[in-house]
Amino acid sequence: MLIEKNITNPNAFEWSQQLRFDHEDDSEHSFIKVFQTKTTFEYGCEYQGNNGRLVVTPLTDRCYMTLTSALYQFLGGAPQGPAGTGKTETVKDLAKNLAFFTVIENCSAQANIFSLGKLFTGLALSGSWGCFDEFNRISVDVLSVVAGMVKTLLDAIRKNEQTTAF
Amino acid sequence: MIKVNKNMGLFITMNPGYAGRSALPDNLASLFRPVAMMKPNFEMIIKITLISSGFLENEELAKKVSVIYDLMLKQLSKADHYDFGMRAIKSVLRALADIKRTNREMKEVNIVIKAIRDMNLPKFIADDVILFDNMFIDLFPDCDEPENDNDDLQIAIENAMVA
Repeated sequence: MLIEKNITNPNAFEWSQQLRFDHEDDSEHSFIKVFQTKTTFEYGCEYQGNNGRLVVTPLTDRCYMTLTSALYQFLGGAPQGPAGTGKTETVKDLAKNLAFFTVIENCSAQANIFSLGKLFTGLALSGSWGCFDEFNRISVDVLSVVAGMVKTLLDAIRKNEQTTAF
Repeated sequence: MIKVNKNMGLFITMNPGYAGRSALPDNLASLFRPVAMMKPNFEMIIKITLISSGFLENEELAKKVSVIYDLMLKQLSKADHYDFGMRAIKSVLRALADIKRTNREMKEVNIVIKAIRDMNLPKFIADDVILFDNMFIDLFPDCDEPENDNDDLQIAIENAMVA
């Protein structure tokens, strides 16, 4: 594809939109870094096993791009669409690409602030990803508390704080 | 106080428009970047999965599989237990790969026919079986219905009933 379109510049969008991996060293450590568009992530190094992967279609690429840019701006990602379009699968597959542990939680109307608060605490402590399916099934009064929790955590990450009151 | 690992990521998925679902409050919505997802490109996904399972006639077969699932979705009755979406197609593709792996000499088009029939016929209601057979004849005009390879099971059942 790159040859077809005669892409020779490393800043060309057709190249930078791809999920790219590179190896970087500083004086003590060496890292694997993952790049897409203008975003950079550290590779999670979580063992994923030899499990199946998604077929990457142009739609998958576009979703990855939106999700990586969301994470880079210290936001969450909220894929929405009809059932069976692969919203969860796309998040799972992106997590596999970046080698992060992902927790999939199917939300229900019974979810309360305590159960969700525990989940968020665990995710924040371990640096895993959480994918909350059917999030809009949770009742509105719980959601408003959740908004406060999510904001606290994202703000802490944004300010590069080591700890936060939660 | 808790420690915060900067690698944490949060994702929420939603199916908008269902009954009994609440819209996100604005203060929460502003913390999540919306991603609109459309219908996936079935044909491309099927084709690539077929290639990765070693099918040589992947192009043509992918077209047929995606067409037949599209037809099933549109023409068959709307029974509650029917699902002709990506999930169903993925399970057919897994079945295809299994048959291909165990039956290397089998003709590729026959593998596809067998997998689609095995995965779908049992769940159809009587009226839809006729429609389904017609669809099949239209799409695979010069292939006969594959013979049933459940002979062992059949014999075992018959024996059990006689005994």
